[in-house]
Amino acid sequence: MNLRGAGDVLSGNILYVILVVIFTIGVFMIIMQNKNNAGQWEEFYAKELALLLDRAKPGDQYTIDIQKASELAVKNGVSDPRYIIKFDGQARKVVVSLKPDGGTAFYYFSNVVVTDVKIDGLGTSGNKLSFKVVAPEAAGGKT
Amino acid sequence: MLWSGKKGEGAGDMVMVIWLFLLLVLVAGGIALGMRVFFGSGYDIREVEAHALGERIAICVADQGVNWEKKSLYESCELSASVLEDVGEIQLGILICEDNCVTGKRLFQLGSNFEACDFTGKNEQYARCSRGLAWHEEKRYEIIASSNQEARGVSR
Repeated sequence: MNLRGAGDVLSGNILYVILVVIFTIGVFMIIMQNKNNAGQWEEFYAKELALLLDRAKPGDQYTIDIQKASELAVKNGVSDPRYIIKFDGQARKVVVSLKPDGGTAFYYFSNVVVTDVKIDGLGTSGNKLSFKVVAPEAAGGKT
Repeated sequence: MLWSGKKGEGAGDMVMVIWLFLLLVLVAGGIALGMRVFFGSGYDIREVEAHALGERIAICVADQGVNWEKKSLYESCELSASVLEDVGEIQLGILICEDNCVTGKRLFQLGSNFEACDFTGKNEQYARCSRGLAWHEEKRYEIIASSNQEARGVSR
């Protein structure tokens, strides 16, 4: 019986399996990253809120419908309303996180700070985000 | 080892592995392309942002002029110096010129690549720009604002 080449066939098959496993993991990771299209919605909310703040003036008050964002956050296991939209007054950026492992940030250029951020309970219909825009001095921040 | 023994032995397996690898790359490329087409190529607000920046500066210059000795441009226009100088240096641009920006004196400049504004639309990577005019005490000023800011991923 000729056993020469049996090892080659085995190692070839192992290589096939390794490649297929790597490929499957890669595809799975890409799909998980784009689950619910959360990344795109994070970008949308972060950029739109930053644009709003770019045009905002101290004293302005806003109430915004964030139903889609809260739905996605709840689906992805984010249950804390304070976590999904954050305004970093020090760095002047908006951070939106609709998945537990991270979020999307966008800077605004106007010299204002956001205070009194309120978000209704997540998952209920008609979720609203409300906040006030103030000058950094009024919020005790730095320019 | 895949290639062992006599010369040429196992060469067929190696050829098959290369084909399999090419096939996997092709399938992965197809999936990536499909996802890009389905989910779109991001939400582009660069033009709107450049317009908002330009408009804010134009209103400010028209109201207060260009005397920034006592109060800087950032203070006069209520702009965040930290964002514009740290983050904005690369991604946001401001150019304010007396009369026009071709022959007129440059009064304020943040960022450098304003030539790319003329090629907006030809290359997706170039910044989006806004050009505007402002008048103060019968003097005309041209204001160019540019934005190439992209959203960043942050970890928890």
